Amino acid sequence: MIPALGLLVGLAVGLFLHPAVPLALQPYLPIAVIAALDAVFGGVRAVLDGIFNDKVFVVSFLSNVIVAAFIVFLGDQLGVGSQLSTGVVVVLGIRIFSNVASIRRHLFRA
Amino acid sequence: MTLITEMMQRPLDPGYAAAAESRRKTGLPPATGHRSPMLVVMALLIGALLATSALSLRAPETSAIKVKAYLVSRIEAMRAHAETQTRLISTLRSEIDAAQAAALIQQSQTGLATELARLEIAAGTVPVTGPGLVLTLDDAAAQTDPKSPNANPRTSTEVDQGKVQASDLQIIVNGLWQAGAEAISVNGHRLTSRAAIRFAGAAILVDYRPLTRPYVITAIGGPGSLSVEFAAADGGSYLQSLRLNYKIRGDVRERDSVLVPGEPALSLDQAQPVKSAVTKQSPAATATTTAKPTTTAPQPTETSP
Repeated sequence: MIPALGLLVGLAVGLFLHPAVPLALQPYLPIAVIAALDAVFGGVRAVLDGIFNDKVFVVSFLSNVIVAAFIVFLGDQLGVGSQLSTGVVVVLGIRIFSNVASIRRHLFRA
Repeated sequence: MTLITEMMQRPLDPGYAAAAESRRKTGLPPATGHRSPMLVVMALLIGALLATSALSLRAPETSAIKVKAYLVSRIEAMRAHAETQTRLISTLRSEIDAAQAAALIQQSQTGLATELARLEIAAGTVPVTGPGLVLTLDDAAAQTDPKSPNANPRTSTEVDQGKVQASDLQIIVNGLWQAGAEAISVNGHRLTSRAAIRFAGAAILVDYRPLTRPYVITAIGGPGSLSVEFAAADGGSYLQSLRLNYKIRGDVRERDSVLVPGEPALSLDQAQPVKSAVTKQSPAATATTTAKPTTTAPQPTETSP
């Protein structure tokens, strides 16, 4: 419950402070959002499975974001940035979908 | 394929299972608590990230749309304003005319009243009607290349030759003046001594107002003679070549009675009448009036840039 409250407070902080993102970092924001969602849903599923571990959660989130941003950065340098962004989105999207399906089975038994 | 299968079968990070296994071995419960400060900080961070990216990725688009909507509303409001002002001008003008006529009649100067009416007709400030012709010009029908129907119009280098240009309109209108037309309007805009036909970008402007196709030219002139003389002179042959070479649709119809609207907002701010020419008829002025008795409106010729 406390992490959920933290999430809400973070949302409110972001909405009210409206920090300016440097232009150079803007291409990585969507990827970071997808990676964060993947980590969040993975964490929720781990909680429901009874094997949640806070260290694994934090490390997986950070590594997801960093690796995804690095792939996109590399793609930009090689001229295939949009394709690699698509690849990252597809992989993380599939993971998000299967994790959400597992959460749904836990919650609704369906 | 193994990669995708792996991803579909075990979407959860294997680190969770490994950590739980090692905790089980040391005798601890497999799951840790949800209250560690690191986790709360991370949740805060994720929330801020979501909100920030939602705001910063959406903001430019919405501001552009806002500006565009504002400009569109400004344009529409100003256009409506101009229309109401034009209507106001025409009603005021008719009031002025009525008052002028009443004043002149009161002073029993009917000669002045008829003189005023004659000059108004000549200047083109009042609507006039009479026999004439209606000439409709329109762009050529869109031609589709059978070989490449999906050709990108941006990549084709040749200009669209089937479009009516401002110079076409100028030549045809001048041909009508030449054929003896006494009053001409294009799409309801009277061609007066201050009207110009020009183009801005792809749009044709008459009287500084943009027109849309089809272009309907209404001209008053001698019944029968106007269309015959127009067809025989330069304007008619130009129209014919437009039809044949560029497939531009041009259609001339004679009418027993056409209506050419007036241009109410015709006013001269800087031009002043020459005193000597008004008071005593100079020989030059007499010569011009006798030489061209039928020309009631000067020819609006502004050559296109």
